Amino acid sequence: MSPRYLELVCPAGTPAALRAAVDAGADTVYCGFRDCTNARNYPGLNFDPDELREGIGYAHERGRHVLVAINTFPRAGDQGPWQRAVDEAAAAGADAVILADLGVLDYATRRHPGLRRHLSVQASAANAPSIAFYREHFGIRRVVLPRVLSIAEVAALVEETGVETEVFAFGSVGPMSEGRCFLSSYLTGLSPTSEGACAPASHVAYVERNGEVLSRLGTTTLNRFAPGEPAAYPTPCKGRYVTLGRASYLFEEPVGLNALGFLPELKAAGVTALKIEGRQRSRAYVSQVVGTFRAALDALARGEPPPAAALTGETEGGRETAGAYRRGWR
Amino acid sequence: MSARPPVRLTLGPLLYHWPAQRRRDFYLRVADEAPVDVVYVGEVVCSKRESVFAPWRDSVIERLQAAGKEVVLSTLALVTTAREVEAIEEELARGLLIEANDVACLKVLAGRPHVVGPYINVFNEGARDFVLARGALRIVLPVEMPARSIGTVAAGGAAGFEVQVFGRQPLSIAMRCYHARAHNRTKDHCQLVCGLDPDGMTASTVDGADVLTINGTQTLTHGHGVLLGEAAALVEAGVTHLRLSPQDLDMVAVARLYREMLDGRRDLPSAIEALRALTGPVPFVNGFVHGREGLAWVPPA
Amino acid sequence: MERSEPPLALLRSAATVLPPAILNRLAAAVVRGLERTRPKLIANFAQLPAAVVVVAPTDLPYRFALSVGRRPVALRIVDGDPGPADAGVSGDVATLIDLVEGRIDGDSLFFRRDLVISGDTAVVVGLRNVLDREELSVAGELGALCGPLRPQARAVARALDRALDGLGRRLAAMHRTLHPPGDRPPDVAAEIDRCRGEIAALTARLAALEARQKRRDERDA
Repeated sequence: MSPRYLELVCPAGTPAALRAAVDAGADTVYCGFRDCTNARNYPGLNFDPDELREGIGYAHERGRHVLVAINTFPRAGDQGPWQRAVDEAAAAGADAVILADLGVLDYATRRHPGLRRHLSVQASAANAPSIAFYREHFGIRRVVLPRVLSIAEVAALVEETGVETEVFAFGSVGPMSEGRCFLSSYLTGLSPTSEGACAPASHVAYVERNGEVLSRLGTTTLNRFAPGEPAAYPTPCKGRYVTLGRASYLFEEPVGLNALGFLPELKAAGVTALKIEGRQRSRAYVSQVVGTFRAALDALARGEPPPAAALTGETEGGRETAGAYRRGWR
Repeated sequence: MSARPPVRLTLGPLLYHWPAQRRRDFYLRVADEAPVDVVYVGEVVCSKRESVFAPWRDSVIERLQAAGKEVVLSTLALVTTAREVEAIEEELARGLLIEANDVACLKVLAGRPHVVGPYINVFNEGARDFVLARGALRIVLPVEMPARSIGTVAAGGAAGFEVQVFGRQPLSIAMRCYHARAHNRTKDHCQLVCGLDPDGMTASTVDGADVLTINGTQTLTHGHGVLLGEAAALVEAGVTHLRLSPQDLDMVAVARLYREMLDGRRDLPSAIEALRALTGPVPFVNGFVHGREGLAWVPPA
Repeated sequence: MERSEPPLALLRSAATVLPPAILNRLAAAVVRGLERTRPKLIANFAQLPAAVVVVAPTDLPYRFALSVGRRPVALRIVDGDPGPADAGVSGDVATLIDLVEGRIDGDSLFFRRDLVISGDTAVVVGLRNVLDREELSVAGELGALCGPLRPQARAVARALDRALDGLGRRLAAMHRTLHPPGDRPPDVAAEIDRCRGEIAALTARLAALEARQKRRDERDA
């Protein structure tokens, strides 16, 4: 087998999606527990400890890895679930935990020194001193970089920090510094940072008015669509706002990130792993996106150009972007 | 407990981009007239703004110190270069207390006295104990924290705990500049267009509700966070410092009325009425501290 | 991947003509069968917050009301007012089958706009997530439901599906000739008679199948 080109890290919101990801060629799968300890705490999603153990078994039998995201910030007076999640992940044989909170990192470092720790994108470490700080105090082995850096900036970080980097290759684009964004709780009262659900579906509503559809989060209108117009998931940062008398996607357009077109550049930047976003998405999404990236990485590893592939059906708003990787995004 | 020292009023860092002259005049008036104990200076939002005020900064700090204020230098909330962290080391050498607003700053501050700012997530006892063990003297708690969590965190440790009780509440920070975007400019060629809006730029929904305030790379609430009715309970729960965040209005008057109310020289209804007179049509919000959506206003009981 | 084979297709075809009473027996049989073959699916439905979801296929005269978040999980088929519901999903049958079989995810649900979600969106997202936990193929479920009668069930289902496709094409043609201005007068009555005949035959086979299944269920119990 040729040396690995880039590690392919794939989402699993359910045990079925974990198997789909492994079968489609994921090197590594990440998942979370069925509670507020992970940043995709949506109804019906995620793993109980038994399912996690079975999932890890399925992956390990096939030589793949499983990471457990415990990447929200515990509420004061209620750190138990987060500490238990770290303990459960260790007991289930997870290959690493993905953490963000200083207290949870501290706990995992002291209680499970042998368990590999990755720094979640929720910790929003976008610069060398932060990464150095987390490595120094918590021995983090890998950092998941925020989706706001250019390829040149990623390369500089790899060079400066010497820590493995995992970058987003496919999925939604988050323009805000993650883990420190209170827009959703401002509109709903539920905090993505501690409850793990940005724009919780319980607060999302679609209202038809005069032949148009309004998307609302809490009592706030985020967008207005004409019939058939592409829509984004109604998070506050994908809403349409009026400034200076003009309505626009002030923060981010309804587009999805797709790095398939410039994988060699990410490889050259020294990136270790590619992350596919979307634990809230379906098995079908997982199979299709993972399969497409697997084929591309295998071709590149053989020195061949990746096969042409279209994934626009899977992206937000049906449109793709290179996000911050290319100049001009800011 | 009668041993508790009186609560300190602080003036948070100016988040908006004001012309240098105006910024200087503001701080000189604060030095002379505002009944605040602590003044935070420094640029939190955008490194491109820093050089504008740099020539006046040191003299302002001296005047504030001469007036008996504790001066704290706030860092950027989103550090992007190692140089920005090195600059912190230089400030440390000059003996300034630093408010760290990005974990990057803790890299150089760990082991030395410092303030942990509201842009670093300290939501629980574990995170609190970690930063206190590394030299934090005081923690400014995130605006999203409900009163019960504030009480749990502030109950432990000999440190100070600070909560913002006046001014638009910061909601997010980004690499992207939304002021530039709204003006169809790139961040690299923004010409500091954020300077046009000394009180930020209002963003409304497509059906006409004012909901957010844009301040360069930062997004804030549209309404002023007003925790007048909650201040006494916060102090009772262990909060030692109350922060007033500068807005484009008479901040000296705001500081006076908070001080008067905290000292028992003014009752709550009168304080709210006086504050309404100063803030004009901008609504009040206090949902976060009540564990509700941040844009809610829970009137004092 | 297998696509929209039998059971829902069967429901789709049956629902076009069958009276609600028969449909409801079939729906109850589906839930009973799933209790046995997919206990985790039913357990996960029961674990969701209590809610009634009304699924309204835009190309059928009936709606489905699914009660989750309590035991027993129940599926009703209604042709009138479905009563109070916490959430609604509507879209054409093909799209709804995609949803059941996990081809549409929680995000695409909103991007695609070919599904209309009303009421409590969280209920619909939860429902979708629970469905996605199972590798459901509607064809397989009907087969499993019928146990040893699997091959026969498949045969019936395939026959139904073929009939249905033909029926669908004819109905579409009828629709085209009925609605937009056309100069050929449609032979609607003859067309409807043909459809009735086919459906009556299929219904008889379905009833026989159901009776066999019922006997089997009783024997098992």
